[in-house]
Amino acid sequence: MNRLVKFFDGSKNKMILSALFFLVLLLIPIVLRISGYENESYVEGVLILCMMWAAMTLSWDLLMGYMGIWSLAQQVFFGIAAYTSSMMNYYLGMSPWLGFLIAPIVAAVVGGLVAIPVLRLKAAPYIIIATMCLGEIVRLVFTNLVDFTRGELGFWQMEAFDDVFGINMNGADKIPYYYLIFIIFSAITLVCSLIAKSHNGLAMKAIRDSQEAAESLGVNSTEIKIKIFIISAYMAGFCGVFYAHYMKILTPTDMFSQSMMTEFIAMDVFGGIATTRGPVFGAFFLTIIMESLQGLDKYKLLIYAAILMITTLLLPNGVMNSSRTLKLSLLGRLTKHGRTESDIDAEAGNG
Amino acid sequence: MTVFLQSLINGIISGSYYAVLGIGLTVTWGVLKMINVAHGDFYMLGAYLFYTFSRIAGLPVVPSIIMGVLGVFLVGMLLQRGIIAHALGREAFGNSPFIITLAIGIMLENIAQIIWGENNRGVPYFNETVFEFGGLTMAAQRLIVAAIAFATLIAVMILIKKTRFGWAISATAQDRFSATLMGINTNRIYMVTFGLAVALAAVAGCILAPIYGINPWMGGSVQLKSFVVCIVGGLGSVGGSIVAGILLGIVESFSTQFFGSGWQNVIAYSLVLVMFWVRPEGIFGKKH
Repeated sequence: MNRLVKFFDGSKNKMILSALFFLVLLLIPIVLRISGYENESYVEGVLILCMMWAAMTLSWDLLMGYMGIWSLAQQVFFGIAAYTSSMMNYYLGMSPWLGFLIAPIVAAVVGGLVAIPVLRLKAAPYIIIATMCLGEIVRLVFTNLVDFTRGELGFWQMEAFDDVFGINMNGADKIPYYYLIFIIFSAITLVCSLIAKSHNGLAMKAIRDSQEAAESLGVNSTEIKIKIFIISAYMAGFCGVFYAHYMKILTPTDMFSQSMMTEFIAMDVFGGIATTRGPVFGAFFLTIIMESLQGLDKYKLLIYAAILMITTLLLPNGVMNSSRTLKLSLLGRLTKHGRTESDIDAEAGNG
Repeated sequence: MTVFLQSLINGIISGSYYAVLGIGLTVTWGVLKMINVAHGDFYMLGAYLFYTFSRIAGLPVVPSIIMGVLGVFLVGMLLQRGIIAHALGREAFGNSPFIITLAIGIMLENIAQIIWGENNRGVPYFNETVFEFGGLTMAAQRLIVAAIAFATLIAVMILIKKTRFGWAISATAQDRFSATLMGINTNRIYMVTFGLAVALAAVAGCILAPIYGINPWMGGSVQLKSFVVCIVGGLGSVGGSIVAGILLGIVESFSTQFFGSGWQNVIAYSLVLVMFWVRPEGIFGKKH
């Protein structure tokens, strides 16, 4: 039990909160179905997106939040897995379920390959530029190999998952997809929090804070970096396969361009990096906000940018990490410029 | 031979504006110690302002270019003072200037989309003449591009090396604290430098608008190419950026010649990865 408590940021309250959160998610479709709510499939659709982006953001947070590698290529792993699965389906006629077996492994291999050039770089701007270029190279390759990937046209109308155990997966009823992504999302959340609390998680944080110091204490930073890249890409791969056969539309621009990565960044930064609850909160909050602003579609990105800017300037550690900052400013002790979160921690006697 | 010469000339001409774009990023990096992922969007903004002044307000070409560049210069300074300055020097990902510039980029794109619409806009060539000599063809527009680009490069070099203001910029880049002790207002230097850097992007945007057309997303590929120039030339090295820009132009023009038009960007971006592998500090960068 104590070990379990530790997974969820070390406090019993937080663990109860997490359990409650997952329980509510588990029950929402059942409640909606029983109550006969007319917009049921819309609500489920939004929650499916929330869970998918939350899972993606979590997988990226391992790299960026915990280990401090500013990799902007997470959408590549997602896209590669989606493409692998749909190409297997399209060219070889394989069942989309097999995609879950193979595509994440392909993504993981790509993750390992991406790790190699990144490993040589230490300064953050270099990593940002290298991974941005990698993402763009992949996008251009997928656009240019027209015979193989159908170019800019992409894949349309892919097959849905086959029916299993008599459950109809044709997508008209969203509940099977809801529970599928629910399983993926909870598994990824669990794995991420497990890793964060494990021996490796401590090593990752040590690398983030100072690679030299970590290495001097016997942390094999190369090995851990490659490991985390592979695990992170593997998890992103699951989301990619789900996306391919749920959305059923893949184009290189959608899958590999920087705009998707920007969403992950926004969700992670908004929620709070290097936590499990931060990315989840960020993904749910931003996805729901964006869905409810459908009427303001034109200003959607503007709102995104504004949210990103305001969080960065006022709540630099994300909403979920800033309860103390918020409390202090509410008490009229506005955080002055130049004071860091640790100062505030110390003041609050909570460091 | 003609093909070779033609490619070389085309390469140098497009390289000259890569250099202009790259210098902007390099100066931002060298002085403010941040990377600006909105650089391409300032390029886009410059092109749109130029379009507005010349096509909608009906001004002649030269005043519209000057107004467009000045406009971006002012917007850049305002954004630096108003927003970026508060995040400068922060190290963690979640609160770094990087995120701010990312947000500024999205914002500019969206604003352009709202004001000018999503359609492609065009500006006529400054001069329609096409020169031909010895089998080489050369549109006057491209020569104008190269001339303005080189003039801008020389002006920037003179500004940085020969004027008191340039010395102040160099001093701030070397050591902010000592610069402050020497009586330099570093906050102002930061603001003006950022404005100048994005104004350079706007120069490129204005002079290239007739050739490539204008749309809200035109900054994306330009952004990455400016990064390529910075990295190959060495982050923070102005001279390196000029050489790297022209080099990139030539590489691109030859790879279009040999591999077809879809692949030149793949090669340009791969250059960065190779560069990181062989010489991460760039051709002219200092080891540190």
